[in-house]
Amino acid sequence: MLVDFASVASKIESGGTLFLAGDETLLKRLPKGNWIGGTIPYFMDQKGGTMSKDTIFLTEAPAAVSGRKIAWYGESELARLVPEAPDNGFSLVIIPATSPAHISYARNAPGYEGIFIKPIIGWIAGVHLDDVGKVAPKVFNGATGECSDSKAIAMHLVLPRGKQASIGIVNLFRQGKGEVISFEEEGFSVANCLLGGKKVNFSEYLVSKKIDTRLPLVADYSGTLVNVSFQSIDEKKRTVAFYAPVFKNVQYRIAEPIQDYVKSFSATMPSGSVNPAFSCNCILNYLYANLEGKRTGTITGPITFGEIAYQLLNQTLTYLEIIDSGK
Amino acid sequence: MIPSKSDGGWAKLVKGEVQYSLKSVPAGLMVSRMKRETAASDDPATLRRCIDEVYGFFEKYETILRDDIAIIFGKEA
Repeated sequence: MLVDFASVASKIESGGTLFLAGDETLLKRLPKGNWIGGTIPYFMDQKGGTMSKDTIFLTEAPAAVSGRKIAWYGESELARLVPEAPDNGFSLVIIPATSPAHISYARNAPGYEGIFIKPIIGWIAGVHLDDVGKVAPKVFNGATGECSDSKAIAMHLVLPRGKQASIGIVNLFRQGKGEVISFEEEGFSVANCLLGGKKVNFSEYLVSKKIDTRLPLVADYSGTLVNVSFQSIDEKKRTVAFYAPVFKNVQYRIAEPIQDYVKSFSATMPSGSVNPAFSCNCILNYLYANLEGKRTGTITGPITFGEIAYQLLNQTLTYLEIIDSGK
Repeated sequence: MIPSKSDGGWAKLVKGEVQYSLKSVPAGLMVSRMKRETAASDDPATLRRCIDEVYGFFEKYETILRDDIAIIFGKEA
């Protein structure tokens, strides 16, 4: 929930284990304690989408958590996330947008050994859209008061026997009926793509077909739909940039258009029983769907520059639940 | 209870011989990775490692993966 500075400080001082999102000027003044945080001034609150530099989005760790550890991960240390995560529990990770850690995690996380065995959820910290390119997004280790614009911060949380963490996503987008698109190069930017096995310049293709680049590329990972959002088309350099990397040997399609984002959110939300312990949604959904002042079901959280459900996602609402596992 | 590791359904799953549309996010991501790994290598050790990994995952998260277990092995699994 969105709360004022004094309320967050009080929660920290009373020993709460907290995940925080807010403006840098607020986060850097908070007392030390069991918290991690990242910068962003956009939120989905109970009253709807909002921009605020005066309040902080506070998520309290689930009551079931029985232990915690906070750790920094630099670009070359991120693969350690998985072995250092608890055998039963989850890890919440926040990474500054466009940082070396962001790029590294986006490219490499799907290949980390054991990545899908240990629930890893999180988000990419950002800034006010007027400050993009001028102010660096930052993440905070509340235990020490340190902040970073280059490393990831993670809190590993242990759950007791009988409880497990489950990560879900709400992706409004479905694969459209257009051509299958694949890539020979991997990364956040490409020149060419393969259409039916034939190499073509991707920027020329998108322009000539008048593709609406607010619609992401969508890949179907055995039922899990993963988006890669378009950042820009550089017609001079004949390149296309994305907010997440594309990968080789993955078949993408441009998403089907969405008529009404808010209605689609309501329709796509898991029915009834979802009670997220943490959730976040994407800044592109906020922008393209004009979500300011509008609610997207009952799920609230920071509006982010990328979402993490094991690997980096785009244009996707991501949430974590704690369930009774009986094990 | 999930089927034993020797059940042929695990090999079909990781080799992508049957295309499933799974409900759980990590199940979908993991199975897709296994399919890419088995497609890239004929080595029986790769298949065994993928089956070990996917079996361990389904065993650990059996409660969360109940729907996916039913999709892969049928309701009686």
